[in-house]
Amino acid sequence: MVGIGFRKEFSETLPRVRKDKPDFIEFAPENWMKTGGYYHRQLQKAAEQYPIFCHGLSLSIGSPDEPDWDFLADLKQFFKDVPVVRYSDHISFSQVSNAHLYELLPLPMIEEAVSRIAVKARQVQDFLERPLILENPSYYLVTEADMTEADFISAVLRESGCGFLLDVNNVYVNSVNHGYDPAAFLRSLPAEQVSYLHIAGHLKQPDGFLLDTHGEAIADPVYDLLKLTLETLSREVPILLERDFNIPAWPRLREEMNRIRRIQTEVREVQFAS
Amino acid sequence: MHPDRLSRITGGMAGFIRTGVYPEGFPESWQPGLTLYRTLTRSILSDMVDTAFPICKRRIPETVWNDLTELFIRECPLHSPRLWEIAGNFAEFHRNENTGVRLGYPWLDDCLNMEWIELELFNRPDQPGWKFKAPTGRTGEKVSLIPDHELLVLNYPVFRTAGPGLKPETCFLLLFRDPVSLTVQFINLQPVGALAAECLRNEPGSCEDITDRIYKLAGISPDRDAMTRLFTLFRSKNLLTRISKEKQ
Repeated sequence: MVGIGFRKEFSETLPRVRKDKPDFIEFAPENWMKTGGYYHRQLQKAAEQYPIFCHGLSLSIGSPDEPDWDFLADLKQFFKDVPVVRYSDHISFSQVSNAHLYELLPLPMIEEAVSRIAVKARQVQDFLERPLILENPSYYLVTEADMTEADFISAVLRESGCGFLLDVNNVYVNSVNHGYDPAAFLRSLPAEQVSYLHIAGHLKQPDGFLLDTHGEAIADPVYDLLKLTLETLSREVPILLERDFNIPAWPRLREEMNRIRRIQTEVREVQFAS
Repeated sequence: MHPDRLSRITGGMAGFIRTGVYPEGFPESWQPGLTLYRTLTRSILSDMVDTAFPICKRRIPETVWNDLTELFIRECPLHSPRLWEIAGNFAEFHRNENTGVRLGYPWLDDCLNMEWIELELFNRPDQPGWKFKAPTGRTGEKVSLIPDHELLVLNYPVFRTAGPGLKPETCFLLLFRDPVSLTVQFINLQPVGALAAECLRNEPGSCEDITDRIYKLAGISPDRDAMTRLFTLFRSKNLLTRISKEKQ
């Protein structure tokens, strides 16, 4: 399965696509819940044709704040109105003292953060009555760290029991920016908990620093890392192409999805043959 | 383990992003990363504000507009998880701060409010179960205004795309989401037209009913032809909807 992030920019195109259709769509529920009108109607049309994954931005699972119960109530209602197959958010924080910052901020990689996420994830899952999936974020700053990134993610997943959304581009971006081997990193993550994958483009700064923009085509090394990830997982999982900015014409997105599909097929065939 | 490490770090980062004041006790080595996050966060917020208020932004010098955004980010805690709703917070914040009058832009409140209502109407949840039914236009037919509308009383004609020298003028602006195209449109109404819209908002009626109600309410007798023309205009803009027979 290869899906695509549902964007307003191609919301009219998507319900009309006949060739090489995505297998599912994904969007941030915050951008669509408690809305109506034109784009809501486009979403309804798309929802009639495609399975829906939701990828949140505002859960702020790592912040010390209590869960935002009003938000969760709205989310629960939204999930009743829209047939959402999977729901994920990020291992990060974006809200402090009940004030949102709308950016995924990096958590200190400390035991206290692991415990906080575990408690909050249970509260969220109990309230929503559905499993929560957490994504490894890209990060540009390490504040305090008592453990490695891989150990931190593994601990969060182990303690919370959440599914794992493995973002392959984030692994690549972080490996370049923080100087580690992405293959070794991948192998140290809990593969059995991976629920699905994200893949996206990034922006290379003149000094070589990478920004996880979702505004460029997927870079070749990220495709290579996707192949390695699929080989490591040894099983089929859905893969989502994220493209949030500089959105190109549909044929270019279709080509990216097709390239992902070819990699999936190639890995499947090799594994089947062996 | 320090029990408040998580709070100290997340709180300090959030504070720096909003205010630019570097947190006490944070190592200098964190500054480049924190500054990058501050830039990214502010870019998200200022893009949202700029997109929501294109008319206000165009009428104010860029540096002043940027200062308004800066003040808003620094001073106004944003409680909604829905990013687009910060435009409403922005308009409310500057109304409460009396920013327009203070800076010599007395029309600013009107302009911010108008642009926010336009965005809010565009995104407003659909009324459950409501369906637009175009009126037949028969004489005596009772109709009501479509639900997705707002009648604004403005002190400045901020909807006119003239230069910056706006003169005070009381205007009655009816903003609405066309139930067919789902685009937001507006009509600048005469006072009698605004009264008619207000009467229709309160209770459905025919053109004749509304004419009578205006007389009872304001003691004026609107010209019957003008009222017919107003109803024709409303109908052509999909502003009127049939009401069910049992309500008639």
